[in-house]
Parts: sequence; C-alpha cells; structure tokens
Amino acid sequence: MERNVEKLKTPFQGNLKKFMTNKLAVTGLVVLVALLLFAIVGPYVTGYDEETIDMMNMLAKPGNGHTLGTDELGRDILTRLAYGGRVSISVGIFATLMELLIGVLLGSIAGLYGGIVESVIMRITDIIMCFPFFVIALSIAAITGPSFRNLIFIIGILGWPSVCRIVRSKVLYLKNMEYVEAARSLGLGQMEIIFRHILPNAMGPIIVFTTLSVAKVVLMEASLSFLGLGIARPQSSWGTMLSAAQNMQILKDCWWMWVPAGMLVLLTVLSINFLGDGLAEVLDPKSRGTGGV
Amino acid sequence: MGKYIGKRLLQAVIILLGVSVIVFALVNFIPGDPYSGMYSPDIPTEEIEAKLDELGANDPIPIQYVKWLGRALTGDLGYSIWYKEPVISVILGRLGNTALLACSSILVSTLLGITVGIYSARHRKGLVDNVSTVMAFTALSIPSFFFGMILIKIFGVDLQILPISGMVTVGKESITGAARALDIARHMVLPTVVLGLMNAATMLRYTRSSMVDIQGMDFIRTARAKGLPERKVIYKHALKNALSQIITVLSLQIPGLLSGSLLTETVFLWPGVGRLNFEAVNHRDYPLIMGIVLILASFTLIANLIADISYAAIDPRVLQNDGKG
Repeated sequence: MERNVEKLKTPFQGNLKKFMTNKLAVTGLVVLVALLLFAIVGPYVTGYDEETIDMMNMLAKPGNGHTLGTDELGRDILTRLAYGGRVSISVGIFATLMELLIGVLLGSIAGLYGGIVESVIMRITDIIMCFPFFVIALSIAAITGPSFRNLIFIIGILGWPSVCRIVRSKVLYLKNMEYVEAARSLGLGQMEIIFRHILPNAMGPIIVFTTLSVAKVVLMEASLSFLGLGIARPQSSWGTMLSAAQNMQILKDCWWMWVPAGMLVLLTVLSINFLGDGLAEVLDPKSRGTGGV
Repeated sequence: MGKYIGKRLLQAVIILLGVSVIVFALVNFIPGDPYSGMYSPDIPTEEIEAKLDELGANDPIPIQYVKWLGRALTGDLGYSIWYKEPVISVILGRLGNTALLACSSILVSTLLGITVGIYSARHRKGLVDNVSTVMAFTALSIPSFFFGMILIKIFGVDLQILPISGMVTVGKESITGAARALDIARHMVLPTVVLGLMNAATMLRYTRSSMVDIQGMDFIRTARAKGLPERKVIYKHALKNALSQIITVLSLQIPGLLSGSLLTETVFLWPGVGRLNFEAVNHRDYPLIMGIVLILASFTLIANLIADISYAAIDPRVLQNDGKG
C-alpha cells in the first residue's frame, strides 16, 4: 500500500519534500518572508514617517521611543530601515527582471538560430563579462549619474550575459529532443516552440539564477550606494544608510546608524543564497556548490 | 593543443577589440572634449579649435577610434586631468600596492580554503563541515565594505591594536628597512582578512564540491581497496584530480582581486588601483577612469585565457569536447 502512495506523488511534491529537508534553505525562506514583511508593513507600525524630523532627539541612542535610535537629523532609524528595504529589494527584483528579459531573449535566439547570430551574441557576452563589475559599473554611473532608474539599468545591462549563457546551452540541448522535433513536424511556429515547449523545460536553472541574482543585486546596490553612485537622495536604501559610516565619527560612536543596515543586507543576501542553494539542489543539481558567486 | 591555443588567442583578440570599442564609446559619451580641463580659459576659441583639429578631435568617429586604439596599444592612454600625469604612469604607480594586497589575500584564501575544503569533504556533515558551510555562505553574503568597517570598529577603534587606514603610519613615512616593512605589514592585516576570507569562501566551496565528487569515483575506491594509506589516497590521488578545478578558481580570482578590492581599498584607504578608480570617478577624471577600465579588462581577459589553457593542459578531455559546445 505504502509504495503505491509514494508512486502517486507528482514531481512537484517530490521536489517540495526534498526542499523541506534542507534546513538551511527552509530557514532562509522563513527569514526572507519576515524581512519582506518588515519592509512592507514596517513603516505603518513604527509610528514615525521616513522624513519625520525629531529635533529633540538627534543622534539619539536606541531606546526612548526610538527602538533603533535616530540619525543626525533626528529621523527614526527603524522606520528608515523599513523604507530602505523597499528600495533595496525592489532594485534587486527589477534589475534581475531586466537581466532575465535580455538574457532569456538573446539566449534563446542564440541557441535556436546558431551560426553567425549565435557567434555575435556569445562574443558580446564574453566582452561584457571581461569587465570587472565594480570598475565598469562605477564608470557608467559616473556618466549617467546616480538614481534608482540608472542603477537598475547599469546592473541589468551588465548582468544579463550569465543567464544568456545558461538559456543558450539549455536551448541547444533541448532543441534536438524528439518532443521538440514532434512539435516542429506538427507545424508549430518558432515562437510557440520556444515559449511553450523549450523554455518551460529550462525553468529549473532560470529559477535558480533568478534567486541568486536578486541576492547579488542587493549586494551590488548596497556597494554602489555606499560609494555614492547608486541610489540618490532624497531616496534612501540600506546602502545609502551604510554610507553614513564613511564619516569616522559616526563609525566610531553611532553604531546604530550603520550596523543594523549592514546586518539587514547580510541577512537578506544570506537568506536568499540559502534559499537559492536549496532550490538548486532540487531543480538544477549540477550548478550547485558555488554559493551563487 | 597548439590549435586550441591558437583558437583561444584569436577569440581573445576579438574580445579585446570589443572591449576597446566599448571603452571608446564610453569616452565619447562624456560631454566636452577630453582636453577641456587642460587649457586656460583665456585662450581664444579659434586657437583651441585649430589645436583640436590638429589633434584629431574633430575627425570622424571611426578614424578617431583607430587613432585612439593605436595610441592605447603603445601604452598611451591619455593624460590624467587630476594628477596632471600620463594615465599609464598613475596606474602603474598604484598597481604594486594592489598586487601586494592581492598576494597576501591569495595566500590566506588558498591555504584556508583548500585545507578546510579537503577536511569538510572527508568529514561530510560533520561539525567542521556544517560550521564552515554556514561561514562560507556568510562570507559570500556580507558586503565587503561592511565587514571592513566592523573590523575597523572592533580592532581599530575599540581595541586599538591595529591601524585602520593607509599603508604607512602618518609621520613615519621616512622610516626604512625592517621597521617600514613591519609598519606596512600591520596596515595590511585588516584588508587582508577581509579579502582573504571572502575569497577563501569561494575556494572552500569549490574544493569541497570537487573533492566530494572525486571521492565517489572508481579509481579512489580502487586505491583504497589496494590498501593505500588514507593520506596517500587523499593527497596523491584525489587532490591531484581536484587541482584542475582549484587552479581554475584561483586564476579566475586574480583579476577579481585586482579590481574587486575596490571597496576594500576604499574603506581602508589603501593606495591601490581600486581606490584610484573610485577617486577618479569622484574627480570625474575620465581619461584615468577609462585607462583603468581598459587595463583591468585586459587583465581579466588574459587571466581567463591562462585559466582555459592551463585547464586544457591539466585535463586533455577539454580539447576533445572543444567545438561541441
């Protein structure tokens, strides 16, 4: 009897069970959901607004009505962390979407058409991957100037080659499978074949890439904003909050102004990486082991 | 093998041309002419125009590109606006400091990553394996500048046992010999810890996963079955086969260390290429920025090439699979 029950499981249920046994991945998922809730709901429950200035309490230590203290203008740190989280995480999501859009499109084209088109696309990925990320990102940011939109553009335009390579090699492998040949002989168009028959089967690696990429982008955002070339004022993110510590006095005496922001970046990236590693184990076992770097 | 190297070299040249086109395009996106910072405002416009014509700044774009590429190939990357020196000499002046930091952190990351990686692979799901897995993930997830600032706060500000910025103690620039070496070494500790630990994490993950894969292979079982001592099995048979992976990771980390230390160098005010890059961006010193981009991209390209070729030399299967995908 038991054996029959086991057999009736769908692949999804099997994967879910496998995923649930990975303690780190499950922990990552739980922490990530908590962080998202904090960023979404947080501003409504802290009792302050992002820009509320408390003149009586500038650079106040944690406690005394401000759970995590205040900054040099008397703004509540906890509230700002929640708002900053919204910005940091949305950069992560939007930049990853842009990477996916370009990468999946060009990767599919390269894999499907081959020949000169493929060579050109793959050489472009080689060229972009040659540039050390921060070096080229900084240089582009110096020309475009810092802003939410430019940041997403820069990360997206530099980040798509890796997903492009993943999709291309998947498409190359899948396009000669019998079921695709069958679809072709039924007279289906290229578009239908790629979107309905090939890409759904390449979903595993794409999902893993997406997860790990969000983590990577949150790190990049924090770093570029820390250098003053990411998110621009008046908008603030965890990265811009961390940049306050470039002032030696704040680094020395006001830990609450930068340590919590850094810890949130660390926690977010870490939980996404754990989650991504768990997903990789289930969906794309070959890619595992590198921690997303 | 010769054919493989030739093919890779040809690819590298094409990529390098692409890199140069992108850098040149970026240079051309910059408003104003590249010499705008160099002449005084009281020179008449006609004279400036005439001079710009002579320098070729008004040539058609493709001709400008060819001229620029020709100069870049001979090491002439233009003139730094901020330092009033040729770009190439500004960069070369800082490259040594970055290389110094890169060497010390590679030493730390390789020693730590390989030893812990081997140990974790041998004792899977053991205490060391579990702890080091979580630590490695943490090291890969922490922003390097945040890690650096925490070390500054703990060791520089609270405990006051290590210097936190620069390369030599202010006021001691004139000391020489062993005392100077010691001073520099003390300044290197914290940035080395940051870079070394972060790279050790990658090294550890790769070493561990390739050692785990290899341990399940038949030739290892054979080695054990014929009664070789465990030490010999691990170090002579397994490690030798994991080495190709490890060397690849290592050669891919070197360009990362030259450029990726940008944040670490900035936080610790280490006078290297990374910090130079950040300063160049702040000063809007475009010729210097583009020079750094071009040089570091070329470094990356060369390192990738060396990685590919050494990988093929160690593992001839690469040559057979080449051309299939």
